[in-house]
Amino acid sequence: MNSNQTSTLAPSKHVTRRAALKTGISAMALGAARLSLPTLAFSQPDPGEKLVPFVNMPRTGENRLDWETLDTWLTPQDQVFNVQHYGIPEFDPSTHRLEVTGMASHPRSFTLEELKALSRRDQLMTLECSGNGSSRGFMNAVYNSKWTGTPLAPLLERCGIDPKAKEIVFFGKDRSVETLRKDTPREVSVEVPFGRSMSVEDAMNLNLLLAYERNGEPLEKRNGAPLRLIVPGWYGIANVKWLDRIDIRDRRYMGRYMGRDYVTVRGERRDGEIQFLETSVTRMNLKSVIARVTRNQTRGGSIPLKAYGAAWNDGTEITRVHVKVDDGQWREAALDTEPRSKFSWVFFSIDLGVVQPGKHTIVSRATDANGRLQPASEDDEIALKKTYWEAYQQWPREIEVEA
Amino acid sequence: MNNFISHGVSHIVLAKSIKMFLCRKRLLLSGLAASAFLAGFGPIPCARAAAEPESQNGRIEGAVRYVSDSERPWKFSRYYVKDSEKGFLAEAVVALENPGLRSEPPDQKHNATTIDQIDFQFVPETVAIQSGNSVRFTNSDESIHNVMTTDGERPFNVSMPKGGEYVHVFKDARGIAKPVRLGCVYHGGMRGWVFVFDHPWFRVTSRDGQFQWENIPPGTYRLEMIHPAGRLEWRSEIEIKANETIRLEIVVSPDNIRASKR
Ligand SMILES: [Cu+2]
Repeated sequence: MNSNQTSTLAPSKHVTRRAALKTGISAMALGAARLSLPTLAFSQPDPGEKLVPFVNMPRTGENRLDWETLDTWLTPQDQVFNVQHYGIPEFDPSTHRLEVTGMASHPRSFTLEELKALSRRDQLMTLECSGNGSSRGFMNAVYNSKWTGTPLAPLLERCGIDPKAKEIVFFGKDRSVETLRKDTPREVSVEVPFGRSMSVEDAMNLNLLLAYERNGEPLEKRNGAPLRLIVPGWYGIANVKWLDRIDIRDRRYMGRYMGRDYVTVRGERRDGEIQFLETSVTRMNLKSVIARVTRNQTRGGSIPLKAYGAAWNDGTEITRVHVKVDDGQWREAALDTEPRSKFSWVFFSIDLGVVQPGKHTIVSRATDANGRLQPASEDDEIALKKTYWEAYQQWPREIEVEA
Repeated sequence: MNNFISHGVSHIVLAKSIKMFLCRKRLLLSGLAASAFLAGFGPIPCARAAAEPESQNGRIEGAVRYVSDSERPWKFSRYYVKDSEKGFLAEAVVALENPGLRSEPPDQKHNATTIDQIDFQFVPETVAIQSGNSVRFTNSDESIHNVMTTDGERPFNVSMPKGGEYVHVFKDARGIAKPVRLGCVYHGGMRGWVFVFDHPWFRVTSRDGQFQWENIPPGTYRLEMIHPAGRLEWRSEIEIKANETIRLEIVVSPDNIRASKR
């Protein structure tokens, strides 16, 4: 892979696309006037341009991103996934409250009306399940949204965080029995709420949002209504749904989805030996994927191909995406200059020239402003990863074309 | 991740929109190629042929067609509509329902439905069986799978290692409105449907969107069509008369797509 790094020194290619603003979306974008949000992102297909289906990929069902028909930068609701670990809780949203508890000088609780009366902010953000891409059976759990809600930091400040506090824990309304040390004499089973935590510093500095709308519509229950924590740049698991308590503490929270699951186990080379390390799943990694490949009519026995895709990460600037066909050279794709936003995916496209009839593999690789490269499956950081979360490896797509 | 399946599809509600082309003639010859009259659009021409049937019962030769709408593109058509001009819809379940339909013992020779797990999907995705019959699940992928449902009185949840096999007898007839929804706990995108009937009057449309029934006892039935993966639904009343063949097209469009639940 290193032999290809020279290409990242070339000036970056960018494309500006202007597409008609659909009234619904342009009205929605008023809250974020600095951004124009075309609904059509990928360019209109050339005459004769046809989808080349990927080989051996499962069909995409409802409530999943449909990569091959992806044409909107903000994901429509019927392509939005939801994952929950304790089921979707039953409760009356009209009486829902958010409590702030623990190490605060002024702990208090808020009704939804009170939260909605506080300052209102939009946050554009791509949210990905950290298991997305762990297999061909789970490739569509990512979507881009405009979330609307009230910022968390000023609300916590008003509650007066004790200077000795270290950690902020976010609890959802969803609960379940968890069993520790199962099948041992010290087995213990208790009912607990779903929880995730982060340091006070992260909670105060990461532009967290308490969101009640998505894409200008009330949140859907399955996506966390009436209130969801939004953590820009972090994997989906951090974005606690059905949020009903924020607890300020002076020691680490070790709930199942913080301390035991969503823990990445990865080997690191030290002095010629591999040492394994367990780390928490938090920020999204640099990742790109080919969304679709199209072809045109055969010319002189060869088939012209184009590829389209998306790249995203934790908000670090994505500078380049390269695409490779079979064992060819990495070639630089054109990144859309708009729509673009720090925590949202960027779309890319590339004319791949012509290929011969038969099977081909097409793969993309993103680079960020720090020079970080999206790894291949064989690279240590993926190959030595024993757990499936953080599945950000390059994803080769197979196609088969006929003359 | 082990609760990925919990966002499964919701229950199906029947649509009001009904389109149906009917034509009745005395059946004089069996074996008329169904596609001959289904190739065109509009009213279906009826064919007449030569010999009297032995049975006094009726017959249906049908097809399901999806009429696309450029304003409302249907992303699932690439999986289920082979020829976008003709629009014949594959993997739709059609069934006759009638309160008087007797429960008939399941036909053992049709007790051999297999659903494979291959390329991270259930293949076929949609099957229909009679209650008491079984489905054999297999796993042809390299990856581990699972087959599970939370539907009905007898939910199950079975690990499917590579090369694995599991046979499940479906005892409860839930009819066309309540298929047993299948999933895999490891791969939330995997889904399948088993429709279980207490009578044999059901079909799953072929790749060419066709279905047929022979020897239907005369009477008034409700004819229903559901395409579970595409969330399409349709129903109508139909009268079966002795010695008649009904040739029909069930024509659906985006109007027949069940709205997503908020
Ligand atoms: Cu599976």
